[in-house]
Amino acid sequence: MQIIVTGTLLGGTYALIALGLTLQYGAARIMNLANGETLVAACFVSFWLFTATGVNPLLGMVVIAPMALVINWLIYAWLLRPLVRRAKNRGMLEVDSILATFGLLFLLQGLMLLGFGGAYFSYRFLAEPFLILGEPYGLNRVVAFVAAVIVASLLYLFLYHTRQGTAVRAVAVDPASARLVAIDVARTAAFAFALGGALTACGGTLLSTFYTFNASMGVIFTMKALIIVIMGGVGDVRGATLAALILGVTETAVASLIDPGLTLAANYALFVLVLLFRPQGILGRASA
Amino acid sequence: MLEVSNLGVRYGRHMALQGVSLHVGKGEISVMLGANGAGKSSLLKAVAGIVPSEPGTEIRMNGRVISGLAAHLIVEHGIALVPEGRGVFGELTVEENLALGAFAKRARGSEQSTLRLVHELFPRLAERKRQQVRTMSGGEQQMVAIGRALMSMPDILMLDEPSLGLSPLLSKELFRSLKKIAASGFGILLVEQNARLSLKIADRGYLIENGAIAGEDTAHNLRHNPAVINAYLGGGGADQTPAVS
Repeated sequence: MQIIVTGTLLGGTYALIALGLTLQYGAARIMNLANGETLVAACFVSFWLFTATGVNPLLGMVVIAPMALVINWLIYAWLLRPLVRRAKNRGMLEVDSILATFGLLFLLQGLMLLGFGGAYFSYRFLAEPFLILGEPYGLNRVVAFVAAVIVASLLYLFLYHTRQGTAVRAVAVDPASARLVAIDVARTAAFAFALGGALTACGGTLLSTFYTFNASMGVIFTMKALIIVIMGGVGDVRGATLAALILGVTETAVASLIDPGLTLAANYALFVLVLLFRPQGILGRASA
Repeated sequence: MLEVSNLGVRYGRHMALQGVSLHVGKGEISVMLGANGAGKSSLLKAVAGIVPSEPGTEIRMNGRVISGLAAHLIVEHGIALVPEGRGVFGELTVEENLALGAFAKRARGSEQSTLRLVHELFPRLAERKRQQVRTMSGGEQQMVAIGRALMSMPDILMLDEPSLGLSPLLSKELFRSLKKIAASGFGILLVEQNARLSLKIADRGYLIENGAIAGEDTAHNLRHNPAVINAYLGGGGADQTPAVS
């Protein structure tokens, strides 16, 4: 039971990170391998805000998310839009964007290593016990989970109950038809990419409240997010959320029952199983 | 309303259309007849801004030049295309498809009244609001596609082979709906392989051959023109009135 609760609490934060990647890949068609760097940057900004100015990370998110939105918009406009323009088909864009964001990953990681070194950072925020069903859990983890649920619900409301959000989904399922209903596909894709970055940054902020981070861990989280996105089915918001919870619980179970060193191995074992048996995603339907 | 003059479309070295001129008025149905590969679809795509047109082309909508604009901006000028293969959002519900139809700024204000009009035309769409479109039959998906296009409040509705893949009965029903749509004031530019049915509802028709307009006349005259009967209506087929020219 403790494993399930701890895993679910962790899964909430994972879900936000993965929702960011799934928006970037599903709607903007960019497989952003530098997604984890946005997360790490958000960790450092919330660390700095908290330790230097005493700003509560939850409040910090209100600043960090819009910042990430703007920065990711700029990344899209400068680095990725030229690739989108010259790509003759989706496959070509996929290859180009993977290579470009792979490069970006090392550029950003290098800059952060330069700024913060390779040391591990953490800060104490709400590090007190909170009882769920008689068992104590870190209050920071519980708060992070609740905040993740709120942010994810807001995203869901936006995507499923507003005109602009529905337009983002339309671009995700069929960009060629989207322009026939007056949707500016190029702008919507840029916006989806930026919004994805903002979500990942929210995930990073929440993660930093209970997790020890360093400048070079971004790639691990990109891989986790990638596993979740593929498990959930590309572009599937509900699938990604479910997959994030499964990953959180699996990691926690492996770490507490077998060995904490095996969590990454467990990630990939799950990934391989999904690719073998449900390549279309856990909630996805088999393509005809 | 829609005036196309000297339209040219080129795919690489192949000229798909050359010097094409035509016009469609309010509440009027015009049909383009022509063999496969004659350039009918290219014509609609060029007007919708999906394929680029050659220099020298001028397309005007309500007096304003729209040639060279991006596809999503052309919708704002009052032109909606129902593409071949329908182009509906299969993963989305009927309701969402129709709501997206009204994404154009020109259509947002009147969304509710347009939706009522679409539901009157296709009551099935009101019943199936929450159904995912890809789970619907071909005929129903065609209704979604036309409904979605109407939701943008177009002055001109363009349809590319709407009866393709529909049974004869469903095709008849579809053409009856198109007649009603024109009667509510929308102009229609139709590309159809089913010349018989489309000439019955059309006001005017254009013949298109090898990328150029080969003839233009009222639908009534075309139906009784022996050359047209031979080429498009299956050699004097069902229309029993002898052709007098």
